[in-house]
Amino acid sequence: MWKPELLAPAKNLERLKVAIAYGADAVYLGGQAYGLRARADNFTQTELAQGVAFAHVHNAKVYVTLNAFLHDADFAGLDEYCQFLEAIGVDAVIVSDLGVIRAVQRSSNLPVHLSTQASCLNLYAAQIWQKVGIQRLIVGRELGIAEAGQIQTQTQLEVEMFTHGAMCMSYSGHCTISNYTAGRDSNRGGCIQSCRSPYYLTQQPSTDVIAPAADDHQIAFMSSQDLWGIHQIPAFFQQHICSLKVEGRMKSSFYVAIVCKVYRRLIDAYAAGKWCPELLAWAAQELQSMPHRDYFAGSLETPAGSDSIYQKSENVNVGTHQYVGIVVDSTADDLVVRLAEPLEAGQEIEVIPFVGEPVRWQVTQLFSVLGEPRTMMRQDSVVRLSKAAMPLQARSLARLNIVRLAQPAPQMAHAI
Amino acid sequence: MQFNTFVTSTDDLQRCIQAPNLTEVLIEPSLLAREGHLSDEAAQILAVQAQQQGLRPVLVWDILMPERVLQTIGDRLKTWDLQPFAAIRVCDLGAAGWLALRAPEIPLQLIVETGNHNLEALQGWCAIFGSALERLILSIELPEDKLIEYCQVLPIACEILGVGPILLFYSPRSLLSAHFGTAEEETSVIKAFAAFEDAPNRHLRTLETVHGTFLFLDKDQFILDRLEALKAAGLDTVRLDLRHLGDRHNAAPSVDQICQQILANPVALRQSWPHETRAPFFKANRTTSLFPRLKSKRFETWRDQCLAEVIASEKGKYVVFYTTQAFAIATAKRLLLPTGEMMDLPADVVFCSVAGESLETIETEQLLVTDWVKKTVPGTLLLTD
Repeated sequence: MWKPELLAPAKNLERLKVAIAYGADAVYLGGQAYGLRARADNFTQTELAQGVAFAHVHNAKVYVTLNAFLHDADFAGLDEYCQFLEAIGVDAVIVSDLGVIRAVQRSSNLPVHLSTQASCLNLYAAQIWQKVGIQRLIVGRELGIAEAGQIQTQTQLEVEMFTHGAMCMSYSGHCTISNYTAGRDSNRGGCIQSCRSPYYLTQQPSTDVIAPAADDHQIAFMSSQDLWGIHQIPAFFQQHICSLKVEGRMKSSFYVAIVCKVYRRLIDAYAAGKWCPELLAWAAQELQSMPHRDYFAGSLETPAGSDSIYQKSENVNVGTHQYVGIVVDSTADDLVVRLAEPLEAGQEIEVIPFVGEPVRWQVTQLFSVLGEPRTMMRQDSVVRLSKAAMPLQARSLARLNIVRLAQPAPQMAHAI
Repeated sequence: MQFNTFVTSTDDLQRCIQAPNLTEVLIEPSLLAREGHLSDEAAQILAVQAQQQGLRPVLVWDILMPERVLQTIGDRLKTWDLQPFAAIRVCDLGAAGWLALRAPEIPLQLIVETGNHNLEALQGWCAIFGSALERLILSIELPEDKLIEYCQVLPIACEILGVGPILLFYSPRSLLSAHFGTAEEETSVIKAFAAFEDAPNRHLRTLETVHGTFLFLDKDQFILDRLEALKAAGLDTVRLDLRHLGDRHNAAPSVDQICQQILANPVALRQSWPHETRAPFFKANRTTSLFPRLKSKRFETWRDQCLAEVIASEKGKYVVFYTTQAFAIATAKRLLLPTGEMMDLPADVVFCSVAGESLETIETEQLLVTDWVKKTVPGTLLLTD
């Protein structure tokens, strides 16, 4: 049975490998320039070549973002960069700007995917982009699946949709708050996410200072809840949406692993005729384990309403489980874990295999990388966990597996 | 060089007739325009009246439209008589596509104010729409020298906002009604002010219309006293957006006097303008100048020479590296700290596996353990020469 592609973000080589290991069919990533994540540790040319090679060995594709809206001076080196991307076998580039599309087409034969930043929202617009020569539309997040399906049917273009992750409240590419309030171009990678901030909001500023009359409450009135499309997997199939995209090039390996694992299982289950409520319940529970801003279905079925605003005053969120770290080596005797958070003896952890149920056990002994016993290891360290103290299933755990605390996380804030 | 402005009433039209160099008026029906509040009928009547008085009415269709919205609008627009309109200005390419089929004889004005900050893109739009395209409405994020160049090079008329509110944000979602009640009619507008936590005296005007929510800067764009070079370069139209100074029935208050002042003494006009003014990108757009400083120095130059990265260290005890490529031990020469400081790798460093075995050749993605090396912290890079 035909299946849509699962497309995951890759901030760096580690995330790329995590995404593919946990089931992504393709990854998208940024190079050192021309993209929208200026602060990310984007891929160097060597890393890009390594990433493409790794992906292709594992039958996955790599799409490179060139989705900034460029000024004339930003075009320097773009032609050569496109030729490099083509030479290393990049599968497509993601572009918003018509000028960049023309430059890509002039300098290479790279397939072009139209970025959601271009806000392609309807059939007539799609037909114009088709004439421009793009191969795939990443439609605006304001579009429903049925509408996207209509566009796909009538143009026969590939249509990709965002399926999971954070959402712009604005039409993508139509927010310039950062440009005018912080001197940073949101459409060239400088977005400061002003929509996430709380604001004073009033209809009648009676004084120079706006403040609500009743209390000193500020309102995050422009902050969107996060998208999830787990309930819409059948519709994506039915409408022949070619690629289900996960947002989050700045997010953790924990996020990438869990989201890929969940959507991989959902897509495969639907294709195999094994779609069931229990599976959806599991998926929802897993996705709740990570930091998020409350989930909703975006505009996938009906247009996002005023109840889609994430109004909690904190611009951070809590998942049910805390990320602990990632397995960086597995020897005959030990699992070696790079810790993103501290770990103490006595804590119960879960290691998430690429396929199958989490392996859970209480950590009774911790060892430093030199083999010294410890009761606690701090954040940003490497810990050895003896396989002798693990359940039998743990023997099959491998490098790039994700580790989280088994018990619900305390009510503490995690940066997303 | 001409002026144009938005109109909503015959009073506006009367003022426009009196305004020097103003021959074009922008008509916004609530069906099609972000801030429009004219009914279908009122918009068409106003266009006829404008035409009769020698003005050039332009239909504003500047909303963005998901497929369902475009289909609904298209059905309604089929019943319109578009002939009184001298041109139609659109932002959504879908509107342009719809018009190419339904009203190909009416010239198109394309709003390219977001993105489209390069000549290649602008030339692209000219090529795509060909003779149907009458004008490009350029971004105020373009600096003066680029505007001049584009006016000279592009085979099409160009327009720029001369004075008016700076739109920061356009969302299709209703973000104010949850706090201030729902607007009752299609043409209703909910108005509010938003302010940042750290700048509560900056009142950002916020509107919710049937088409979504809009947030504006608290200062007006104003370049009316800096038009000479643009005029000489062939800038076709300067837009005067006065809607926020008027009301529902007066979108162009005092436009006659304003146009006279632009010609007579634009500096005085700026000084007496009712809102604070600015033109933040007119001289230069430096919105990317921060980016190099946002990035750690190590990423830019050194990552391609990186053999391994420190992922853990414990003072006085050990350092753990994670290799990024296969290499011979002898090629490892230097360490680059996250601070940018470069130092030589101590000659007596011995690389061992996690199992404690001494290594001579190293595989990619391998953990290496050494004795403690002073100053190394996670993020330190191991480099070749």
